[in-house]
Amino acid sequence: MPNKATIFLQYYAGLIYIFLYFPIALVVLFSFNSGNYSAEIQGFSLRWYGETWRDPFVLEALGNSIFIAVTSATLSTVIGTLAALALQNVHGWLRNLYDGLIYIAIIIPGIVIGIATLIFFVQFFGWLNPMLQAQFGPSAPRLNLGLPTIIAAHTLFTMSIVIVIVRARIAGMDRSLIEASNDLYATPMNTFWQVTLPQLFPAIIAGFLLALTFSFDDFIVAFFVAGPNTTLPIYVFSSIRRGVTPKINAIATVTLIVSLAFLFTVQYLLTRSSERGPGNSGTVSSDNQASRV
Amino acid sequence: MMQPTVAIDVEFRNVAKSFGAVVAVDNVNFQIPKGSFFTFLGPSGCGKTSCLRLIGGFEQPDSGEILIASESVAQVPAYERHVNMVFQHYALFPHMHVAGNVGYGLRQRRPRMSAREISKHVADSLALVRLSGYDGRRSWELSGGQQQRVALARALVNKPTVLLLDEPLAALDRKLRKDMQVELKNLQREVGITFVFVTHDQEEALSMSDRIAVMRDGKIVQEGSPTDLYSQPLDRYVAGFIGQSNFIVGTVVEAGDQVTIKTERSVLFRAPKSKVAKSLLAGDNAVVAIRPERISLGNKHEAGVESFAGRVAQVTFLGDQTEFHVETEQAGRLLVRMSSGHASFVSGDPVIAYWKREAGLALLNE
Repeated sequence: MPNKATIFLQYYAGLIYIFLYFPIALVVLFSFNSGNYSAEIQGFSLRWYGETWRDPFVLEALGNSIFIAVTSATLSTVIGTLAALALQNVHGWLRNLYDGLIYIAIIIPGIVIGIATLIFFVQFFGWLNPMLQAQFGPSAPRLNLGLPTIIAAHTLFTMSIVIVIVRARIAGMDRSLIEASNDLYATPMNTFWQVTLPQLFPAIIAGFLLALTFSFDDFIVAFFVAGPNTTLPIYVFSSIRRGVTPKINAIATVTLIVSLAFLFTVQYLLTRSSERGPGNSGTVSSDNQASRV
Repeated sequence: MMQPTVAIDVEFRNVAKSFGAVVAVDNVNFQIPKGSFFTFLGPSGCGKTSCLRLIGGFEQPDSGEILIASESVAQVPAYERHVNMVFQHYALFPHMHVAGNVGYGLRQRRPRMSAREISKHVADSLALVRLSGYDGRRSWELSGGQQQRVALARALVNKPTVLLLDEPLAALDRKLRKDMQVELKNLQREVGITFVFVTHDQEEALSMSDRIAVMRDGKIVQEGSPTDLYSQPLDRYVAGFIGQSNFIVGTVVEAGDQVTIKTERSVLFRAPKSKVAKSLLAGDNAVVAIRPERISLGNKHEAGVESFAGRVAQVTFLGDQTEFHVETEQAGRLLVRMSSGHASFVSGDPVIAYWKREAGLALLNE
């Protein structure tokens, strides 16, 4: 029979969940409001989804966000995967140092990354632009803050996430698969393409999707280095200053659903690949496997 | 010594390999004749797997020379050695189906082999291990024994000079292991490829091998045919590791072809000296090894045999055979194995344990 403490803890846990998810549920609920104001529900409607879809500013911001997310996620996946592979060949204190730096890069607050990258870009462009001018005359391109700087900043902070995920997969990989490939006449390069990469693939995709989500949702870093451009979070932030409209709720709901879809995919990829992972293929006992045939 | 007419597939010349401070392979020499079933036998950490990995090219020797088919492989990486390995946990590629796994080696060939030729070889190889029709299965859908056979097919399809097997039966249950022992031996006869097998299971080694190298601490203690090792072990370690033995410890009183030994309880008995081991001198510490199946139990002392009186301490019925632990006053506890029909002693019975003098083997006790 459950005692009082258990009952209290159960209610307590329930309250925590309500505290966490009630505001989000409200946002989703109000996005279907047919009225003009967020404050009161007047009826169910998809009106605001339609209006959002027809708003050219929203679409521009959305386009920017998607472009930035896809580009920076691709870059950080390629760079991060290569870094994770390279780190396998680093040993001793240097490896510990690199590992530590990666985790620090993940926990550094966005505002610090935002300020740091902003200062870097301003300094860098301040040094580069006069040089370009001197070289090519007044028609020389003037580099400034814009989509490329957001992409660079996003690549910076999503890269470490990719490294951590791919590193974990490499560590869990069965070394004997590489040796088996070697043994079966595959050159190191062929082994990489035919065994290592396919084995890492779920982790690489998971890293890509996480990087995509982090970049798409990011407001702080983008706000610092965006220059005159807007991304979806920046658009939402600036329109909230003019009051929360049901349109914002609709945007938030769509963003939420897309992000959750990515996260569930990541979760699925990572758990499935560890269930059927290389380490398990041979070590499961024979009776256990025989029963599955 | 090898006859010069027999081709040698693998040869180690003074090969040594250390991992940090641990000496895994300590100045080892051996030759593996072509087409033979050669086994490295020893407890874990004795260097047997390191020997295998040195042949495969997964480790490089610190010193010495390795020859495969009479050619030095010092600078040859694993992927250029015409040697294939069956890994302990099979190492099947989980992202490929069975046919993809088996054809992997053939797909690496340059100039390329045609897809039709590859699938023909794959089908032949799967038929060889009796897995025809399993082409499309994934490795995790197969039982341990089936995975094992896929790993074999994947190695054999390349027709290697030497097939290396790293304790491939260790992960299987007992019954399957027995079946696979027979199957492996038959397969080896059928394909005629040199098999180099690593195991810690002496029964496995005895039943399959043409030659066995018993290893300890990175060294080969003794090498020979299973019957040689069983009947003429070089020392106490080999006698204890290959099959079971009773050991009676004592001091040499008189050395010759037959050695007279005084046990710790000052009882004299005789045993022939080993034909291969170091000869014994009077005063040496000696140990006499006697196989449990060579000892019989009776009710009275008989002439012309060595015998000790004792009492049955424990009886273990094994089916066709029965094991008796006999506690003797003069030689400690003896293990006796007899056909079940011939022995009707129960625990507590006074008995005489006796054996023909030739059944014993006197060795130096190190």
